[in-house]
Amino acid sequence: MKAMIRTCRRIQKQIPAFLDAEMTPKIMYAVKRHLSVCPDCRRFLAETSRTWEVLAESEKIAPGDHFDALFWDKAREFSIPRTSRPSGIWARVPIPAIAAAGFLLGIAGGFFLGKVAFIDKQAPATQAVRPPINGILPYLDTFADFPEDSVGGAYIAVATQSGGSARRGGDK
Amino acid sequence: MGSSPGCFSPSEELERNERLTVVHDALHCLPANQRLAIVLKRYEGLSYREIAEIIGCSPAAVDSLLQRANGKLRKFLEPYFANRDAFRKG
Repeated sequence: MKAMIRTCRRIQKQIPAFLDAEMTPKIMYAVKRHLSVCPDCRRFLAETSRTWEVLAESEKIAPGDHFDALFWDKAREFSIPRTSRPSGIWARVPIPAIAAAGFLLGIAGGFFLGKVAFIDKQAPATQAVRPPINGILPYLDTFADFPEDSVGGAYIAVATQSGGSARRGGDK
Repeated sequence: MGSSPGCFSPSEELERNERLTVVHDALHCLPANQRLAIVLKRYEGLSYREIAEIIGCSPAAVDSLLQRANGKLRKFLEPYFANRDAFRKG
């Protein structure tokens, strides 16, 4: 019985919204179902409806004194261009998240650029310290394919002999 | 609503005037925010959302305002309805 009274109170609170159709279809269905079995709530509905009919039969009544002030406050609020407020999808994205994403992107970009620059600087350095192979300086390799009786071949022979004798002398 | 007073018989005119007086008194017994909500709903035909924007509250708060206003109006108008029904029966 107490549960029924609680239900009736809850339903009677919903009656104005029910008459105005200002509720979800699910709640409206629940109210209708309760009204079909509860004579008290049906009487409440009839009285509310009768009250509203009397209001509707009366001449149009002006709103309260402060209505004009409220109305113009709202009108001014809507007339201000909302340039500072983001609209659409941007209104839902938090600013700190965008800032954090930009920060991480900056770090990743800086790391990538730094890595590329580091490799470019490292490559010539490794070539510069390459040691001579078999006692012949690397730049003499450009004459390696020359035949022995050509000028290049003679140069290679002289350079190799002088380098080798110098090295032999040094070894002694 | 909107009909000229000359279209009514004297008894109808009397009943109409009485009704207007009662409704005016009933509305003026309400707090300002409840009166505003009920006038905007019943006479201007605005939705709960529109009323909420004007008053500066949520639609749920408008629903609550209208519930309380409705309860007070029903209590205030009960004697009027009882008298009217008795007069019509008699």
